[in-house]
Amino acid sequence: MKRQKDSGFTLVELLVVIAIIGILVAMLLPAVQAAREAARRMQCGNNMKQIALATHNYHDSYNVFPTGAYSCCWGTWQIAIQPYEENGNLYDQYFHIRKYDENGDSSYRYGGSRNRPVTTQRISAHTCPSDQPNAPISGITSHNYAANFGNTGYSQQRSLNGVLFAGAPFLFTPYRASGAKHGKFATVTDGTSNTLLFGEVLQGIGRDLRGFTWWGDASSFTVYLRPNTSQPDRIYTSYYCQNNPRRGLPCAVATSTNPTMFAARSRHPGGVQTALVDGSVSFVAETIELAIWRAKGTAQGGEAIQ
Amino acid sequence: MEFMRFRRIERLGFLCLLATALMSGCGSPDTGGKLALSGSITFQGQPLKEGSIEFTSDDGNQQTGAAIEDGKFSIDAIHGLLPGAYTVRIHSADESEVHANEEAPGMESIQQTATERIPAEYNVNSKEVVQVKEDSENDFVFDIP
Repeated sequence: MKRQKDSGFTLVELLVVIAIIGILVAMLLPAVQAAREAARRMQCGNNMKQIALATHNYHDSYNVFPTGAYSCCWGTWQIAIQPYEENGNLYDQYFHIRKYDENGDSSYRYGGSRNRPVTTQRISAHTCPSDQPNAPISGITSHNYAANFGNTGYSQQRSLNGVLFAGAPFLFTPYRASGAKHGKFATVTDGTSNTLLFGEVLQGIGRDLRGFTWWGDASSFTVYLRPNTSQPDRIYTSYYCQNNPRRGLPCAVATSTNPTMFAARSRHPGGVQTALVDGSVSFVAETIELAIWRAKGTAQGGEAIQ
Repeated sequence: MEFMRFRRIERLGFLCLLATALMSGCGSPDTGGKLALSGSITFQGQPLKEGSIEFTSDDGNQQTGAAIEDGKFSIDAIHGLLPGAYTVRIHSADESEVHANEEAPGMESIQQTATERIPAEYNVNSKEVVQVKEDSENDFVFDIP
C-alpha cells in the first residue's frame, strides 16, 4: 500500500505542475511576441536606412533631392529613387517623359495604363513587416515610408492655424508648374542631423488611401500632426478616407480650410521610426513634445532643439 | 500530520501562483496628468455627421483632436490634454462638388477639394475657447448655427 503511494503523483501535485507550466508559458508568450515585433521593427528601420541612402545617392547624381510629388499623379519621390535601390528595371518601365495630361491622355499618370505594370508591384524595401500590406484600387500597392513635407499640409501651405511653413527636404511640385521643385542638402540649414527626411506611415484598410505612395498626396507626411496622433489624417474624399480610430487610422475629409495631410504612424508600440537627412535612422516616441517634433520637421526653421 | 502539512503548503503555493497570474497585467498606464476628452457637436440643429475637431493651446505646443462621427468624438487620456485653455477648431466637408474616381484616385480630370461647411468663427478665425479641468468630465457640447 505504502509503496504504491510513493511511486505515483496525487491529483493536486499534477494540477500544481500544470499550473506552473501554464504560468511560465503565459509569462513567456508576450515576451516572444515582443521579441518578434522588435525584429520586425529592426527590419523596418533597415528598409528606411536603405531608402535614405538611396536618396543620398540620388543627390550625388543630381545635386538635389527628388521632387516630393508631381502634383497628384505624375510620379513621386518613390519612383525617382528606384535606380538607387537596385530596382532600375522598375524605374525603366515607368514613363517619366510626360508630366501632366496632354489632349486628355491620362495614361502617363501613376494609375494610367502605361505605368500600371510598375505601380501594381510591391517593393519589399518600402514595406514594413509590422504592418498589413494593402492594394486599395486596381491592384496598385500601398507602402509604409513617406517623405517629410514639412510642418503644414501636403501642398506646403505658407501657414496653417498659426504654424508657418519653414522649409522641407522634399518639395511639392504643383499641377502644371514649369519645372520641378527640389530641396537639397544646402537648403537644410537647420542641419542634416536635426531634420527629418522620411517617416513611417500605415497602409490603409480596404480602399483607404493611407500609404498609397505612388500617388502624390499619400507620399508625404507632415509634422503638423504628432506621430501616432488621435487627430485624423485628411484625404480629399470620403470614398477613400475610412475613419478607423480603433486600428490607429483616424481619417477626415479635407476641405478648403483643412488641407490634405498625413501623420507619421506605425504599428510599433510607443512611436515611429524616422530617417534624418544625414541618413541616420532613429525611433521617435509618440509622446515627443510637439514643438520639438515640428522643429525636427522643418529644414529652415532656425529652432534650437535637443 | 506530516502529510497534511505538505498538502497545505502545496495548496498555498498553488493559490499564490494563481493570484500572481491573475494580477499580472493590472494597473493603469501613466498619462502624465493628461485628461480624456469627449463631446458632441450639432450643426444647424443636426448632429454633425462627420468632420474633425482640434484643440490647441495658446502657445501652440499642446494639441490634440479626433475625427467626428455621428455628432460625437472622444479622445482617450493618452492622447488627451493637460488642464488649461484650448482653442477649438471644427471642420466638416461638403463633398457635393467632389467626384471620386473609383478606378484610381486623381484620375479625375483634376482632383477637387471639398468646400468647408462650418463657419470660419469655428475654425480659421476660431474664438471658441474651452477650459480643460482636472475635476470635471471634460465633456463639451458645441452647437454650431
